[in-house]
Amino acid sequence: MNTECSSLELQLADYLAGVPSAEVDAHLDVCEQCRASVALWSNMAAMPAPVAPRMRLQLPKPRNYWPLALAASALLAAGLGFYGGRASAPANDIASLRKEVRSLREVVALSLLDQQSASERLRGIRYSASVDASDPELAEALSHTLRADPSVDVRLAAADALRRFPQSTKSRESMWQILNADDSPLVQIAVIDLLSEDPRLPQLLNNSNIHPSVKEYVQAVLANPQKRGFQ
Amino acid sequence: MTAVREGDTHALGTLFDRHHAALYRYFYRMSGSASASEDLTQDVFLRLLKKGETWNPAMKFTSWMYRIAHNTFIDRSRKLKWETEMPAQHEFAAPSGHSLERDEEHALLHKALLRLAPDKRELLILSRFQGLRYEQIGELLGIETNTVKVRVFRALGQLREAYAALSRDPILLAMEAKR
Repeated sequence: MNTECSSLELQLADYLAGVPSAEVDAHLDVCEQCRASVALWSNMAAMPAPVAPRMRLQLPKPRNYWPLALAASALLAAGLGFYGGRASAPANDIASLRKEVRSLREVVALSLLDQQSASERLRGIRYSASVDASDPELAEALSHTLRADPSVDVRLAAADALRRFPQSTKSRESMWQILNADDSPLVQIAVIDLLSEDPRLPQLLNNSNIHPSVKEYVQAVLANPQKRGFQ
Repeated sequence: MTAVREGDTHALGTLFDRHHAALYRYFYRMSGSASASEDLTQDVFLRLLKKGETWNPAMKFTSWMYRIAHNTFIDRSRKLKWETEMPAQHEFAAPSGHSLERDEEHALLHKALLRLAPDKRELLILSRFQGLRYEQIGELLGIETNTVKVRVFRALGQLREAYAALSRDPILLAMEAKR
């Protein structure tokens, strides 16, 4: 930036805001750098805007720590029991302690899924990977997240986490309801992946709530059931 | 806002409906992270409720809202190091008649913007994308309007340099892609 540019900074800023100036026009004719800056400013206007996800106002809920406290007490009691009676039945105690640790993880995951912050809920979903996939309560909580979470990122992560859980008839019905209610094509595709072996899949091609690009995906899955997910 | 100041959460819901998308876009461009932007947007509305009594009706509501957004971003930046994510295609509205070349140009510009210091980036975001006038930016940042003008033009110069460096240096570009 040369002396002339520095002396014209205020007028150049006004020029960016749409205030015409013969002096600035004359300067731009001779100053390549300022001309490039003004061109970049124009280019910025054409940048696509980030798409805000569907959001709703979330006011804080009173925090509920009793499940954590309960699980911690259970773990402590199991630990004390283990050390107190390890001479008599160590194998049973270790199994019992492991069970308590698993249930503590489950409580932590469930508690995180209930948080107000989207990042915390994502952390809860990641944490759920360390919990036994046979736990129906956690599967139900993830299913609820997939159905009702305001954040597309969180819903997608929940769909991904649900892949390792066995599906019941009830959970399949819940997935079908999600397909009819969720307007995000990405979430619809993730749910279709979960339902890829469902015989009712062709019905989606006539479903008006399904995005056209998602219908193309359904056709691809029907043509080749092994080929799932983004290629 | 007067009703919100008196603790009316229904009125806060109306303000949320009206302004949350703009705030989300502001935070997304500031942080490059979709999930952080959602959290920060929610935080702003909680602060509007808590700090309602500090609102001066003489100040334009959007200026005050962005002042709170600015403080929220600074507070969160102190606690966290941003995990800036590569923007996914679905996170941006598709402009009409866009070409692949144009898309790449805009993605590069987005990366160049994220390379600027947060205070410089914010000046460009507020003035170019959020539609705030220099006077409003000065009001919310507590600086003179002429200072805003000078800083905006200098920040634009830095953006131009960052953009040019990314455009001509494939190694730098590959490093940016990994971040």
